[in-house]
Amino acid sequence: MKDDKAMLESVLTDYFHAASPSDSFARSLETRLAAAHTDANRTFPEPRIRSMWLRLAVIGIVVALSLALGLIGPKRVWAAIQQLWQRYIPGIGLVEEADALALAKPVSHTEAGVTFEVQEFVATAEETRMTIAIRGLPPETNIDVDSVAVNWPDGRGLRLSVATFGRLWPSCTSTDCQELEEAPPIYELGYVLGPLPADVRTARVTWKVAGLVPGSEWSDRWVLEIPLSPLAEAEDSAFDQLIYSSDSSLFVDNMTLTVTNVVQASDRTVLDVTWSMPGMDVVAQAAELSLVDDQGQRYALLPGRMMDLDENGPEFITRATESSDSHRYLLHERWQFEPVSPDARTLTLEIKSMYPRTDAEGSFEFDLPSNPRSGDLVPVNQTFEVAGGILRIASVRFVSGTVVIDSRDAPPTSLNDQLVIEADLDVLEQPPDGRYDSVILEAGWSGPYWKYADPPYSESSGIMVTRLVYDPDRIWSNHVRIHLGLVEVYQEGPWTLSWEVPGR
Amino acid sequence: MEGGSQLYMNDGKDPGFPNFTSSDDELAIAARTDRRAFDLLYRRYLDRVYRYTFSKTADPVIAEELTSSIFLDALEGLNRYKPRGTLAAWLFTIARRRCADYHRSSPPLPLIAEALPAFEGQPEDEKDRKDFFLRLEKILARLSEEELNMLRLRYAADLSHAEIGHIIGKSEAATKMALSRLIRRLRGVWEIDDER
Repeated sequence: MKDDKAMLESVLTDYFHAASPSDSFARSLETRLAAAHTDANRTFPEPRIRSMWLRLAVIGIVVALSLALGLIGPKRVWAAIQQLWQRYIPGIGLVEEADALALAKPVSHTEAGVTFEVQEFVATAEETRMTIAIRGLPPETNIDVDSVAVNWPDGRGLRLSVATFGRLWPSCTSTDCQELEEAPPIYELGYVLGPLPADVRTARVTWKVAGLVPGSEWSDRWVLEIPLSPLAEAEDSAFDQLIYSSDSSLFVDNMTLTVTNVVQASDRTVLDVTWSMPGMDVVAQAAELSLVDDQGQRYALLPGRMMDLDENGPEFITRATESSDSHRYLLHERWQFEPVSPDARTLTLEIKSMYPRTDAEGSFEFDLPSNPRSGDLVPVNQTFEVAGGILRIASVRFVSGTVVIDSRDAPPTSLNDQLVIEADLDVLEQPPDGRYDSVILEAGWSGPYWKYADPPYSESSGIMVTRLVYDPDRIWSNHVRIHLGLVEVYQEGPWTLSWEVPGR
Repeated sequence: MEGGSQLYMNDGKDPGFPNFTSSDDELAIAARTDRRAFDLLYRRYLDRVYRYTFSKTADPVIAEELTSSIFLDALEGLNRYKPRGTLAAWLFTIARRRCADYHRSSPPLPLIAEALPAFEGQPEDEKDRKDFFLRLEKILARLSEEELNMLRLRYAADLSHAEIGHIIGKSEAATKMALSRLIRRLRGVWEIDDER
């Protein structure tokens, strides 16, 4: 059997290795990259301390810092230092003030009921970050992130490195969210681009509106002029901020939550947090979060304001121990709350409940009926130990349901009265620290993009269990295997984490 | 390649730094200012990036365009790369996004057997090879995009399980298991095909 496996892997390797770049292409790209590398370094030379005066100034700062540390303590000094050269820009994050250019206030264009707004635009020596909001487009509009470009009057432009796309439903603050999803959402686009050349003071943001704005021609573009000024010269009314580091940590089972940075601004309070956990298959979702100050005043999480900061995926770290290597994943998130009172002396983060996820790693097999129809039932009777509790799948049933066909270039479409497979699931024993909340079933034939059962979850024994689309074109034999994928466990807290506000 | 590149610090004893023995992370740090270091990274990854883009497009011209974009993106993004032994995963995250942007309206599996360059060998070997690949493609056409992408990352880009896990958001063990299951399934179909 092993030989067969090796043979197939060898075929796959031959197949995927059969093409290689031509020498001429390799040489020409090397030349192009060398020129791009030289340009990049010419635009932003490494800072050097050349003059004697600058060196003396640095020595002076070090001496003053040492004195301050001794007199008023490291935490307050660190808070004061950070405030000297950092600003928190909503939607972008903490920015080093000294070398940054920024858009002073949002600019927008409205036409045919659609508004295109550049909310933030910050350029540093390392990168350019921009956030855009588009309002007035119907739900499920497919906006290509590449339809937005940044350039400047002489025709040069910036290359896109990272783009994010999100939909935010306005005023979605309660359980009414599902109804509100019928309302037009705000489309939020976030961009990280290359650095702006040092001489550019006005950028242009261009949006290709063809097919999006009613009545637009294929070549129509909206152009916004973005005047940039040094961030350090920005009026302080919008930037009345207290910024400080924290290393407060909370331990829940085998996960650690650490609050790393706090920004207290006039319109919001921002926490940068890091989850440390043993595997990506154990992801925690903080639910029902709030901040409480020492006066008992409670501050809610702003709707839609939990951001994933890991542009390149989670950080993976390995620590060698005597017996084995220990692996951890670090997930970085930004949570934004209502603004806390300037008089708050201590803040407490309160987490009422969590939904840790576990990769169940279990599977069951059964033979499909020869011509399955709605109502057919296949006994399974298998038990699985997951997160310390025990689940049982008694049987699977064929039922009639709605199937969504999803593709990347068209809105999802639904087909009614399709055959789907549903599992009858019981809980024999709940996990010791909570209760099962949802179970995701995976089958070899189910792909992420094409068809899925809608609604994706069905209620069974109080647990949400995914249904699987019966798709005969993708099923290879009558003997099928279904895996238990992620299992979510509801855990009730509360868990709390407190820290002192420096300088109060 | 298993387990990704090793991080070690250049201690200054090596007068030729950067060189072919430098780790990915050492080169990535040096490449921010040193063109030679970026050249080395480019040579280390060119074939793998090109093979990945070709497997997604089956078109040498488009594969070259995408490969160029990926390396230019990587050059511009080097300052943001945090050196923690995951350069390959970072680079192929860029590659995956570039290919996804390009491929919004394309089928999930472009068939590459017909588009491959001529084989340097006997004409009958060339025919056998093509038939072999066409047979494989019939089986691959039944896979989901996610499954195909895992195969491309493993066999075209030569990534380790840990590196693929970084890209698709699974642990190394879960990735290993998913690929192993997939290969087992493919093998089963291949054997059935053999018996016919």
